[in-house]
Amino acid sequence: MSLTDCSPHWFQTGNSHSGYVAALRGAENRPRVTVSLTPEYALLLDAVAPLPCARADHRDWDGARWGRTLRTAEWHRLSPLLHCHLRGDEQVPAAVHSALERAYLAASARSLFLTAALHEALGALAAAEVPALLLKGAALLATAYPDPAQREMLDLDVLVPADRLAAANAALVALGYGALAAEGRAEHHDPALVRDERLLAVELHHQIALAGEGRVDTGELWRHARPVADATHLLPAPEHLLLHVCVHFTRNRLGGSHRRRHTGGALAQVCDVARIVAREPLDWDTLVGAARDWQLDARVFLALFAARELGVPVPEPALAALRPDGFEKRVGRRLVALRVLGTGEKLPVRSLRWMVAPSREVLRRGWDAEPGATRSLARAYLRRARAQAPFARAALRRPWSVVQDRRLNRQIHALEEGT
Amino acid sequence: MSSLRGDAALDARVRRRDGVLAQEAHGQTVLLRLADGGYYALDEVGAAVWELCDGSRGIDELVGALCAEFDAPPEIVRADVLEFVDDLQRERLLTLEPPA
Repeated sequence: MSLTDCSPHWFQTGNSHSGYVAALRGAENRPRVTVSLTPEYALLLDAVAPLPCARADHRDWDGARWGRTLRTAEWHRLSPLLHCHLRGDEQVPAAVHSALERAYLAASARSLFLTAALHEALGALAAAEVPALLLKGAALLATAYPDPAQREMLDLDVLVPADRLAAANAALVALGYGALAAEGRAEHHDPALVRDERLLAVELHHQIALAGEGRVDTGELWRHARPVADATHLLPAPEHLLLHVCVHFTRNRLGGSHRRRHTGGALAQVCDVARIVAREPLDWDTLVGAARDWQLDARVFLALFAARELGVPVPEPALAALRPDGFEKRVGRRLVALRVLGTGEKLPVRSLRWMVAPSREVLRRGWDAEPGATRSLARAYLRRARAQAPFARAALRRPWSVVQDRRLNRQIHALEEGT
Repeated sequence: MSSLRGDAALDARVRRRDGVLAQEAHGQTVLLRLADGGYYALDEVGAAVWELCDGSRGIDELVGALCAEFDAPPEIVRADVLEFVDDLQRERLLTLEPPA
């Protein structure tokens, strides 16, 4: 019997494309993988969205390649999942197994902590008679991931009715939560609430989409939500869960925000899509209908397109029903190549004007400026410039990537406007 | 805190501490001490001991249950259990209580 102290690893939060192409034909209705994958990404995708034939053959990998694989898995928040995928594989070096196991155990410990905190918070909301609908990670753990360690959860997202936000806040404040001083109110949720130890943030949402993204009828979310046994909270309908995951994936991939300047966690989001598709009783017509009604079809399409390109069996008819007019596969594949299959931070580029002369609204929303106060705007402008300077310097060393990024943003925004 | 190094503690009941959470994780069991975030991994046998530490058993009863489950000699199991429970106690995961 053994007791292993793992505590130093508490809470864990560049590849070159070698021309390795995984073009695998699967069973009927399984997508072909047509994007160019490095061997490291091929292995990660074998863990995320298995195909009948494995994409990666790692028998002859050297230490450098395994090192890149570990870094890439960590970047995409997939180390625990990769541990489960490779567990017992004798072709994998012991040091790699050990590193992945540490990450898995850390994720398992964190999930214990989060589950306890979630139940406490839900209990408090129930006692205050605030209806609570779990979103994102918390909902995925309850539905699509039997092993909670496989899905890293950074914070707890809970939807509450808009007119009960104050009561919900009060219930959590009574548990010791408080708003972060620097955190502004987002469009769709209150400032994140944290406790003194700052290990966990709770975000109370009243909406799941930003104003510029679409018009979600939250009443529909509540009406179709699924009850759970202890009646303390609700889970979203499978279609709404997938829709929200897709909207979030596309939001994170579009760039244009200082908070969305990298691909971190992109494959974990693809994994979310894969798990929902595999485990949830989806009605694709309902998903398509909701996406259209809420004007989120382009965003949902892009996420599902990316997932299908990477091997997730998204039905072609559903994809066709959501496809925006004028969509070209090469744009979608560019999105996958630039915003999913990569590591490293990038400069968010929407337009040169957006870079150099941001609107007051950009400064207000992202940088806490008071629109009517010149000094406040100037300070926000300087904060923004200072924060982006390192990425601007890096971008100057790789100007072509900036051009590609900007072109991709323009193409995607054109698609959205066309729908 | 009592220690198993002294014979007096051998009659004590072993109980999992409040504020320690456990979860099965791919063949191992992860323990999390909520007070400070310290966490530990138990192998299969360690997890079996952990499950038995519900405050209703003393060391000898633990040894008896494990001998029956794993078909092992009592003297070896007893030595291992004493060392293991001592580790758990030192790490503030278990507590020893006076016999009922």
